[in-house]
Amino acid sequence: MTTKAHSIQSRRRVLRAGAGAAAGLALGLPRIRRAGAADVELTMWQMIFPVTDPNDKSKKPEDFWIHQAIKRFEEANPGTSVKLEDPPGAPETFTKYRTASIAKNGPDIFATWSGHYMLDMKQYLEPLDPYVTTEDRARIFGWEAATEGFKPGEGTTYGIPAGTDGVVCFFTNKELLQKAGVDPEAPLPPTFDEFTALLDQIKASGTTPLVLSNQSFVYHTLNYWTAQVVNGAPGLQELIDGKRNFSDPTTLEVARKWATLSNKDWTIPGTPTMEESQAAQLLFAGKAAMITSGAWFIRDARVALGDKLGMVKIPDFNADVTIKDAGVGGPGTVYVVSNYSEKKDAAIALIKHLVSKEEQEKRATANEGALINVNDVDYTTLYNEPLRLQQQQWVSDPAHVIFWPDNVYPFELITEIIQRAQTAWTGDSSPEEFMKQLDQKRDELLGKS
Amino acid sequence: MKNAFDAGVTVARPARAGLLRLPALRIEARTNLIAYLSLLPAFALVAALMWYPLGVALYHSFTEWDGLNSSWVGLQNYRQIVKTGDLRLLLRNNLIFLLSIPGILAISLVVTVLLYEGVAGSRFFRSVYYLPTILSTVVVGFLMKSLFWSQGLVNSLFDTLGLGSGTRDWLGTANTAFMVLILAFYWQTLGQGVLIFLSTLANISTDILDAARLDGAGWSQRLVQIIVPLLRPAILYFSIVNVVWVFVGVFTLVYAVTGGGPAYQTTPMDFMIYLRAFQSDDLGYASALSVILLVIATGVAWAQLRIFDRMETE
Repeated sequence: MTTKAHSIQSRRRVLRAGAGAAAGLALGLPRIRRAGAADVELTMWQMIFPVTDPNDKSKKPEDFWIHQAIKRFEEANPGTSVKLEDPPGAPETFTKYRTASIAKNGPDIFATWSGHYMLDMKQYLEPLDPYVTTEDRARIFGWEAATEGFKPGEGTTYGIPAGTDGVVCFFTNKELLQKAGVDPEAPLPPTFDEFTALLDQIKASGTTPLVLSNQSFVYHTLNYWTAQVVNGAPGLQELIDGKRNFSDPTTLEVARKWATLSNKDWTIPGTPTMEESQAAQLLFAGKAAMITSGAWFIRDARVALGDKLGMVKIPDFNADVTIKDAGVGGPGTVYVVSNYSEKKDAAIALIKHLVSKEEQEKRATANEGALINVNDVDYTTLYNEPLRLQQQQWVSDPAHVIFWPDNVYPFELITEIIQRAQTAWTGDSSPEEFMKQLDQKRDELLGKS
Repeated sequence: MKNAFDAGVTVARPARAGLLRLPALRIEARTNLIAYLSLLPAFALVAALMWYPLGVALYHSFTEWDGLNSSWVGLQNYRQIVKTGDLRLLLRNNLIFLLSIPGILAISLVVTVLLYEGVAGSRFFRSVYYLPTILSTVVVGFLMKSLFWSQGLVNSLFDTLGLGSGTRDWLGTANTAFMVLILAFYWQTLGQGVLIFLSTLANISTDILDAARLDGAGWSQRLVQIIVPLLRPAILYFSIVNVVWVFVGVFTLVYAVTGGGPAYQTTPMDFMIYLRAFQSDDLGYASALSVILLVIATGVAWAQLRIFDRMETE
């Protein structure tokens, strides 16, 4: 009996203790949650701002603008912290974002490439129209690159433009051009056919005229000349919609002449498998006289080449093109917010901080990466590099900029162009086969949609 | 044979006999229950990690699926795979890897015998031959890439030796890119093969080889007529592992060395599944490819086992 009573008492004591603990937890947990509510941790992935310096390996990520800007945001917003990650470049980062987004554990903010790179992920993106003010739209340019259909005001805006890449052109080693008897300060011959004579002249001097990387050989040259002969964005859209074929005579002619850059040995061999950094090092080492790139390249090239660094526009494909003396480029980057983020307001606040006048002034002063894309900052007093100044002036004239065709093409199509271009470049497939393969892929995509 | 319950109990008393059988059934049932319960965690894990994903992939192979939304499209993905010619190209690429297996098998056997016989330098080689196998495939891949890119060490070596005409963009054309991939595969697999064969050889009496030597059997005769037959179980194991590997394990190497290029010419099936699923958001198409790969890999493994079984019987 005593034992039984003791046992019951024990059980009661245990139950009472359990109930007390449960009540304590019930009362305590909300307190913990309330305390935690003040602390917001944002996660941001970025693949568009430099965080390393190939010429100065001792530099830490904190020495670059993006990390400093985020630190200033954290200081201005106590209780808010930002976890900034710099994943590897495209296309791996897109893959990472897609897979993370399926599991809904991707970042709150993703600083990425604009156009179709962004739109192809739109099922994971928050429409940003409700967050964007008229003032934002007036002071920042590049909204077309962040809007569905590339028409601001008509389509949904999924991103906030993060900068402009300038205009892709040739960066030259002036010393090597001079050695070949070419005036390094003069513009290049105006058309492709005339340009080839200059390439021969440089080659005859013992220097390979060009070095191109596994992306630039398509993005900077083939895409540029293709866009020129189809009259820019409307023509590119016709190619995408199947109203025009890649194998049409005008675009086929572009592929034919573009392939001669390789098969006439005007470029350093190995283009389809050469990383951009490897190509740059070959220019810096004096193995080639010219490389194609944009504003983001200037800082590293200046450190490596000093006063020998020159910058000239890529020749037009022919005299008949309507968009002359141009280049591909423009607002190729955006900030987007994941639609599964539970901290959208804080995410927008961070983006607005990054594109604010104050931060854009600091970014312009830092002279790193791409160019600024706001009209309330006087870059003329902030840039200390004449070539960046020149780039900003070039890109400010929309009549001479063709927005990145690879951002306009659907992701699958541009992936196909890159893959098929490899064999067209090496001569393993003919330009005709190359263009037909692109038509076939485009038709396959149209059939699917 | 009678058990303890039957001992001393006459069959003429069925009621009692029935009572006696009841506990026996209970014990059997309990034993079965315990057995099933013991197996349950393993079954649950296999079901959750293998059969469920397999079922999901099979279902989604009949849908258009971007990871979030899916709609039933019947056999469209399968038709597309055949129609675009993807399947033929992918199978060809896997077949090239498959055809490379006899090569590494032969090299592994020769190296094993050389090590076993203690030729000059074998002591040093014994200490290093396994190193490539423990390296990550990604590391091996990037090493190959840096050796074979157009301005890499291999071309520099050709130039230095005055063989400039032999320089080329090794990874830029399909034939040479495959050569580099297979070289990387061989380099990494040699250690595995030699280790398996050496450990099997260690269990074989040296008397047989000595006797053969005394009988005048040459090196190649000993290799082909004595060592290879004795190593047959190890050779079967090595072959099965690597045949399965060329279908489902070649991804990392291709990703690190060629990225599937040029123009998908070195893209095997598992790499295409990755490209379509995670770069094109075409998870339905990728699921259909996965189902086809499963059928092919299962078929090849089954055929291989049948052939080996027959060989064993003979």
